Amino acid sequence: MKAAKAVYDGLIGLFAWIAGIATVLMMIMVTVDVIGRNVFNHPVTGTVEIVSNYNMVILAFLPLALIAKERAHIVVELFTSWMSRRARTGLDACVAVVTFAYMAAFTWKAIDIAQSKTRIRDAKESGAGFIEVWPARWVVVAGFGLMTVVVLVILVRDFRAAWRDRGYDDGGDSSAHIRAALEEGETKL
Amino acid sequence: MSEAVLGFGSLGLILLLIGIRIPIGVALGVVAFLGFALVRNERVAFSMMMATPFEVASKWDLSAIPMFILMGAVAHATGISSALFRAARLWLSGLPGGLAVATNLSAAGFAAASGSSVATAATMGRIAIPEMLRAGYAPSLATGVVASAGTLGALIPPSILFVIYGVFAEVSITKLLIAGVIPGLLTAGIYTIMIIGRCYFDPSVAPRLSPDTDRGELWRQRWASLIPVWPLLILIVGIIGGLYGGIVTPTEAGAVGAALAFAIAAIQRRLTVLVVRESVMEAVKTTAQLLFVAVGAVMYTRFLALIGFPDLLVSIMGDWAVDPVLMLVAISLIYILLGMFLDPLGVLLLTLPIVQPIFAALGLDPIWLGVIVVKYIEIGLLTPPVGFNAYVVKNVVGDAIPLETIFRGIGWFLACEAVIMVLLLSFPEISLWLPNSME
Amino acid sequence: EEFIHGSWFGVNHSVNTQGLEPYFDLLREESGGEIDWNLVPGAQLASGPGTPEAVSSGLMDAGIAVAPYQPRMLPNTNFVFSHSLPGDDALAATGAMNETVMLGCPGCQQEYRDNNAVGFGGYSTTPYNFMCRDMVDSVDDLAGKKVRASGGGVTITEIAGATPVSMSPAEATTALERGTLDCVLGAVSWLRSYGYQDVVESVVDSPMGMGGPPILMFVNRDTWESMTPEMRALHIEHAPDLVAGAAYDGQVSYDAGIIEAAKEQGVTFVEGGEDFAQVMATHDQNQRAGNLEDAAAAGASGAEEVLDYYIAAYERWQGLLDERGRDRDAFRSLLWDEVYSKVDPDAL
Ligand code: NA
Ligand code: NA
Repeated sequence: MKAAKAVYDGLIGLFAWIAGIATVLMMIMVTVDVIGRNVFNHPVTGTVEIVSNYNMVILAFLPLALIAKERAHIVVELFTSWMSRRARTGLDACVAVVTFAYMAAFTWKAIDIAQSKTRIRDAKESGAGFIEVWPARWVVVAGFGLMTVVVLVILVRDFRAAWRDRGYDDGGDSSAHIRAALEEGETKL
Repeated sequence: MSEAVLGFGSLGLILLLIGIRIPIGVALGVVAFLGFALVRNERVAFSMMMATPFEVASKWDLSAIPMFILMGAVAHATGISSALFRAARLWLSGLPGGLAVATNLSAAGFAAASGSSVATAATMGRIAIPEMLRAGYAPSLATGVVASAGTLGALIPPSILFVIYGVFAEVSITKLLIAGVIPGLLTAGIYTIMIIGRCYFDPSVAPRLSPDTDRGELWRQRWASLIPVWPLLILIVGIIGGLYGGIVTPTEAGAVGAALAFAIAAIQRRLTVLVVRESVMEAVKTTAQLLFVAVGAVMYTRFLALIGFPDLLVSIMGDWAVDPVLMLVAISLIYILLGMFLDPLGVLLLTLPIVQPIFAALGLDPIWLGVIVVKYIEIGLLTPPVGFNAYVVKNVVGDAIPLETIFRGIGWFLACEAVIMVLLLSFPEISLWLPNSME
Repeated sequence: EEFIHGSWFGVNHSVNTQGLEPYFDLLREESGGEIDWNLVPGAQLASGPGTPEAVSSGLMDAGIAVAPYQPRMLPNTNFVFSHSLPGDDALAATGAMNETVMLGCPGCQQEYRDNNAVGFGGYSTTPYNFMCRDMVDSVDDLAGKKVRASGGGVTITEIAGATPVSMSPAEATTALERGTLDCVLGAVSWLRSYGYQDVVESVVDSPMGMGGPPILMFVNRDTWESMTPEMRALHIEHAPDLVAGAAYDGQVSYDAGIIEAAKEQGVTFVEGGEDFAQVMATHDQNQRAGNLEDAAAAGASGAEEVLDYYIAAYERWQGLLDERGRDRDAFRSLLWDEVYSKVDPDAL
């Protein structure tokens, strides 16, 4: 169990970390291309294709699991703020079934298309040659797949919490400084 | 089933799903899926799920968004943007709602470097919201001003949105960028008037700061506060100079701006591992979060296109379009409705094929249309339930302030937008004077 | 029942207004309303790269497939696409492209089948020209200049001693104005559609290759098979109208007005000298080997034969047009006689 949790946490962190590296590389590649074009009259062929097909894809899909784990996917709470914590946790668990089904279908379909793109060795034209882009399709599989697992874990946890009325663990308070600022502001009034 | 039932019924279903706390990206995607399965079949619905995510993410134009967010995050972490805010605060301390005005005007300044409105809101949010809350500002005002002033990022050049509009509408991007300047300044100006007025009449939302120093000391501080602003000036001059000197394209400006922010931070010896890690993670998480919603929004956009929803809107509009004024009112209503539910790209895709020919038939300037469309898209970033700028601010404040409070605070700025839109629609010269006088 | 054609071209693009819409009107009329195509423009349903998938899955009944966007899905059509035709005879090029894709390239038809589709109807762009922000009237002037180019244009740019830059044609407008770019290698119609007429000073009127065809009717196979044989036959019978609309009304005769307007705005059209012809000749000599190699890597079949067929067809079509005339009706009737009368709608 402990080992499984370590793998789970480790993988989520690793994915986000890879997305971070892709972001920094994107900045460097585009800047180098700009310098190459302007200073050396020699742009870096393939920058546009690589950035859009690899860096952007990595950065869009790999962090999804971490966002799910931190419960940071965007939710409107307007109509449910009157509910008790227990009821809300129960509701969250129920609607998480929808999210889980949605993500599972996405993952399944991402595998489908990744297989077919791998079969034809999907590529983009770049300059006078080709850039193979099919591996990027597996990034979508990985990102959606891990998010699906995270949604499932949270769902099970929420059901248990609602059952035993224990509230849920929302992965730590990331907004402590905002709370502190609010309190300080109130004392001023 | 008729288009009207499908179109408005699906909008209602989205609201319902969002109401029971289903993540917004999921709600949009699920409704789109059900719609495709109903109108075509489930094979088509699944293949929509198969094709859309990769297509939405793998866009060169969009790469500027994480880059501008990264630039803003580095600028924040190294104190570049807080220096700007501190200066604005000192200079505006005498005004009612001075901190909110400072936030608004700092956002206008930062917009001259940032091409993205979510990036502008994210950057200003981190500095200004805690400051305003500590000063006792109402959370709705503190968050609302950041989300709203963030939209200046897309109006004042550089602007990714104008570039994307130019690509889709096939009009000169240069002229569009210039055309955004005065509407951007006008927006900032009207926001300022509203903030001052509101805080003057209702001081409880923004307690007056009693200066703890005498006047001489205040003026000394004011002048001194301008010095630490130099790195931001370098950033703005670098980006604007790079754009107008022909060194970078507007899309590349984000990456080069981020690199420049890193370089400035390194020179200031503020570039720690922690700064890099936190800045990069902010860019990564915000982008992924927004793109996840965008995937659902694009699928839903395609569903609306498939059932002929734009045609339905045109036919509803048909009786109005005889009168140009009523036509503009109808167009405005369409943008406001679609802007509530769709992402910027979805709004563009669905509306351009309707609105472009109408404008062309009436002999109206496509550059003016560009300004109007971009303004409405920016308003869409502020309206619930799908409002990216509000989401970005929500990210800054976490659980401490609910999304509803943010949208409530935005309401005052939406009232300003009504005034601004009436001005922009009544006087095309506001948008066209500058680009036309450049020739 | 209504069929949906999702065009990724903008609502005002000449392919929509001159090609597809009149074609759909014609089909509606001739079938007594039975064939009812609804054109959804502006990439609302699928982008250019996303079109083949959107059609094969049935999201839309038809769309415009451009092979270079999906070189590994449509390797045979892409091979035809990647061969730049020399000269400026866009009508002959269009004829040759339609003939090759429909009759001379079994791999092309097979790859439509493999993607659950049927494909017909295409056009050639008018020849690409160098359009520059400064005065350019010789190849020497291009030395070291930054040129927006794609496909075969990349090697042409390199042969001319310039630096190819990859960028969307729309973004190039700002880039030209600011000097991020010096030139664009593209079609004259871009002067209007992307607003280059405001930012370029010179256009070198020397043809630097024609490419195509985009497949205007890339139709979902199930939709196609759900139609009666008469409906299918009507589609093929009027395919020459579609092609003539897109190529003649939408390109060839369209360009004249654009050139006129650009000249009025002060753009200089320079007669390209022998040196430009030499660049194109060098490219034409080199491209065969390179394209054949790419075709093999991409999995195209019988590339040599297809290429020979294509080149011969281009020459033959120039003769045919000289003979029958270059007006719209002659062009349309040639398309029927030489290509679409020989296509069996039920065997596609
Ligand atoms: Na800006
Ligand atoms: Na909205």
